[in-house]
Amino acid sequence: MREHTEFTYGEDANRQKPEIDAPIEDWNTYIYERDNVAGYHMEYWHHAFGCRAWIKVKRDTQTHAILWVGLPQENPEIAL
Amino acid sequence: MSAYRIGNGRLGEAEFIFTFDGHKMTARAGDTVASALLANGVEVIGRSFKYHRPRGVTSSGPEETGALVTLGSGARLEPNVRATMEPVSEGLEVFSQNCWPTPTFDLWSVNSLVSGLLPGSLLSAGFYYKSFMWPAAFWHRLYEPAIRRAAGMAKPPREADPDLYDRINSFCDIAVVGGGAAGLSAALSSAQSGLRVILFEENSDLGGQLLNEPPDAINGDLEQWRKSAVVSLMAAPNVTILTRTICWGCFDGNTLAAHECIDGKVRQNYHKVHAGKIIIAAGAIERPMVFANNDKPGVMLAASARRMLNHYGIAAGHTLVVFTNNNSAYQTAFDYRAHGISTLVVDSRCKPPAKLVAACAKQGIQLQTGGVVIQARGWHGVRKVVLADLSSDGKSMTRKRVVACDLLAHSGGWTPQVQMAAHGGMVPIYNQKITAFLVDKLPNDTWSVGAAEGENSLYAGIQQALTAARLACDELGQTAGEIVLPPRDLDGELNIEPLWRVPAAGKQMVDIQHDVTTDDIMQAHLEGYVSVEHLKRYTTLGMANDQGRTANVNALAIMAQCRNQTIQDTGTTRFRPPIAPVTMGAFVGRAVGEYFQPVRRTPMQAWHERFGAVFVNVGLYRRPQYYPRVGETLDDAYKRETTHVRQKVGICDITFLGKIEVVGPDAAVFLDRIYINMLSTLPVNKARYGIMLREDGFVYDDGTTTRLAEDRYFMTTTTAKASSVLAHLERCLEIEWPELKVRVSSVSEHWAAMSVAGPASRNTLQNAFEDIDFASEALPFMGVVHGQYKNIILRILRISFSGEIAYEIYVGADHGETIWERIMEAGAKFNIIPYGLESLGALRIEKGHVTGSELDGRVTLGDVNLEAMASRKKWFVGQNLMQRPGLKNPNRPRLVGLRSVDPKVPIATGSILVTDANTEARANSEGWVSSMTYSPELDSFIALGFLCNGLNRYGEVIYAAYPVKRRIVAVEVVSNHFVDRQNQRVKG
Ligand SMILES: [Zn+2]
Repeated sequence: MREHTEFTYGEDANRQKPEIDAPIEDWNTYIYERDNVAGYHMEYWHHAFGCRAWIKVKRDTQTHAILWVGLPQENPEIAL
Repeated sequence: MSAYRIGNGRLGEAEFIFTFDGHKMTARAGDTVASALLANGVEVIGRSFKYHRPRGVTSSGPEETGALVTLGSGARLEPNVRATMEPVSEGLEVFSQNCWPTPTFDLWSVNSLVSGLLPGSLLSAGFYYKSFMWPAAFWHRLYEPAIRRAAGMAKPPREADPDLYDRINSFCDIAVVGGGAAGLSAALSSAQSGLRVILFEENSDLGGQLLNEPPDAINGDLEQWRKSAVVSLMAAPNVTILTRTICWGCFDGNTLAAHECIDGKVRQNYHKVHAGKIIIAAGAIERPMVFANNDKPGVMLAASARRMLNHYGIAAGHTLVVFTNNNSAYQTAFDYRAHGISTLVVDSRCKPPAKLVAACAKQGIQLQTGGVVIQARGWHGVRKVVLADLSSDGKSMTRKRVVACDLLAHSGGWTPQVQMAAHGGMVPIYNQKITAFLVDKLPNDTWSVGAAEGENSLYAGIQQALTAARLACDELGQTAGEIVLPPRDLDGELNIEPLWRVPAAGKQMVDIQHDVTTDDIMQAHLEGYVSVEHLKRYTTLGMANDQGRTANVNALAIMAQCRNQTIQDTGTTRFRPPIAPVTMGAFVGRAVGEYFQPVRRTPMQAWHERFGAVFVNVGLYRRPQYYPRVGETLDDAYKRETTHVRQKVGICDITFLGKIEVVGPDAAVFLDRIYINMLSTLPVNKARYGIMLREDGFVYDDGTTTRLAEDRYFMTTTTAKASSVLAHLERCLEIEWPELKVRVSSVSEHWAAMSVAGPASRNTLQNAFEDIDFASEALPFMGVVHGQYKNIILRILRISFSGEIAYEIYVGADHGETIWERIMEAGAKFNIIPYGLESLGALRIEKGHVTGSELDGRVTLGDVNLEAMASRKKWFVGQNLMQRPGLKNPNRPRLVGLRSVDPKVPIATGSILVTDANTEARANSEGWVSSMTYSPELDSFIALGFLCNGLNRYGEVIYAAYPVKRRIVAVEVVSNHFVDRQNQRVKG
């Protein structure tokens, strides 16, 4: 258990990065368009004042309850 | 009201002296400022916020709306203290506030008379908003000064707060918020499980409403229970009792914020409490009745008048009228009557419960049912009240008559304290039975019990508390214990029949502390305010330091009546922490003055201090700004330092730069993706200037990267971006390209760094470090050499920020000062001087280099004329979106140099660039000025800026406008490379 103040919010982890040669519109979507989710949301956090790992967190944006935490390449085994 | 001491209550008998407005008065141990002032017969304690109406004590608790005082003087002066919450100590200085010259004769009360006559009704609802619509000249000269002087709370102290405050992280299994009967029971039961319990109580004494009950031998059976509960809790090693501690916020993860007043060596503590379970037993607050002049001294909440009598031994008047719409206020009538005080009860209900009617008759209390108090009368305090009979539809009144009295105790019902329960975002729901809001779905791990949950009966409230304690302990794997119940129950049945306001004219205060009347609410309604959040802001209801605890429900009900809808549909404003005033010092704790934030020092800091540097705060660093000689100003010094570097040699501390090592077999591949230019082709022991973009295609940061080995790079970043660039690199490696075998690590603290610049820099360094060859063949421009000085390892880069021959020397932090002093010593014969941030800036502006002032996150590569640097042979971060048509627009402002047409006239940074001096600058902006300096080399003020189509406008004279100060300067557009455009000097 770590203090939340050690962590910094990074970004939405649902975004799919386009291929390098994808049309500019795809890149525009990737950079600028986000879902503003009320409820569970997959996001990246940075343990900036700790081990400096980037982690993936499934968090309820309404209650801040955390449902799942993993490394960036991991995903929950069951649909949460 | 002329109150007087009638008994001992729970206080000690010993008396001591305190002062009120300089007059000596006596108090007893256990008195609050409010009770002590009442005991001394003080009726008017201060004047109200807007109308300067006389105000006295209206309650005996945190809901106090009238008795605000200033304590102490000088640096320890504390304004707006609720007199009901502050214990009196010997010698305490208490002052009335918001009145001049005295509270009983106040000149500003003229506000009260003129309100309604001035345009827009000077201080009525929305006065701030409307005032701004008057002619601007009137506002500055007339209205603002007048309003400021007349409306407002007390004056704050001028000096810094000399007291100590602490921040404490507290931990417990069960937090009990509130130390009334329910809170005591929850704590007692939980404590027997062995779990750690913290009990918070806002008042000095535990007991809550039990403190309203008489403590004497005959009627004191409940007092015995209260005392033994307190003794048991104090004896329990696993229980922490915090009195005079207000829990003011409930946050995620069962975190509570609490503010403890100690008045010891440390004045106050701010507790951040990490609780396993939370039991809210915060009680309820009595509501006022809304009738004309219900704010007059002598009008007091009924239960508070009773507490004054039974706890403090003070009769708050000689002749009592009780005005109520529910059962609870009858207890006040009974107790005052038992002390022989003449008592009349005016009950707006037609049929109060028979047992209360019988009890009144038995005790010789007059009872007027179906009646109302229309108005309180009296100059400084209540002397008479106007009564009437209320028609059965509640809309009209008959048989008006005047009755003499000096104490009017009123009760409009009880409002559960739901703020803490609602902080989690839960919406309070209106409950018809208790005529107040309750949170019906509590957050996990949280229970609400007793009067805070609308349960006013003693036994039933305790049962709720015990149930919560049992569940909380169960969930924590322990078992709560049994407790001894009080010897008898207190019936909390209210049988309330709401009377939200008496249907008559006059100044009926709803929010007494903020002078918000029923007329203000009706006016807001007539002006179309529909949302309660807007109503609150427009009328400023609930925005005083009592946070509208007594006002909220009455105001919503009156709003609902105006709109002809239910109270539930009207809704309530959102409860936000803090629920009570918290001293700023408690938030800050020990982080004041030099402890405000940590100071980052470079290894050469002591040298700079010895050499008399003037420092400037840059982030957490204190950077040498300049090194003045005797009699020099900042301007003199930086011009001298700048000239000296161009002509001779100077040394500058650049340890502030961010430094990152990038190591691994894929380091070159990685940096090619990070930077717009190629780093993989950089030979070992060579340096290269690099730029990185954000994913959106804008410039992110720049710096120099050196290749130390095939698989090892040393990157520098700007000072400001050091930490965010590292996080960006880590993000890319961990999220985007986990397959790359690269590690990045900050080495900012490990290396001291200094720049030696100027024509004599090579000779200086050669003299300092004889074993290293500084000749151009051995160490060319952008070359790197490693060497030693007395076993100290040096890394030397030949790079330049100033445009002169220059070197950056990197050395282990421990040896920074040694090497700096060595260079100063060796450079003495070349007249070396240290130079500061100011001349570093002047040199780079002359050279046309960009820094954070230019790279502000909104510029593209093209904007800073560096698009040619972007490699076409590879992909890099930001490449895709940098191609957006909008960013390719040739008319975007581009980096140019600007030179004052009159060289003696400075160009203000932030100026707007316009073609025509006579146009309105903001509407005709063609660019802006990003940084400026005086250039000794050009003997002129110069600047860097961004100008539309700027590269094609060299030679054109335009204007730098600074509308805020009405300044406009003619400037010539030139290249940003003011000095040595061919870039020959650095290669010399
Ligand atoms: Zn970590």
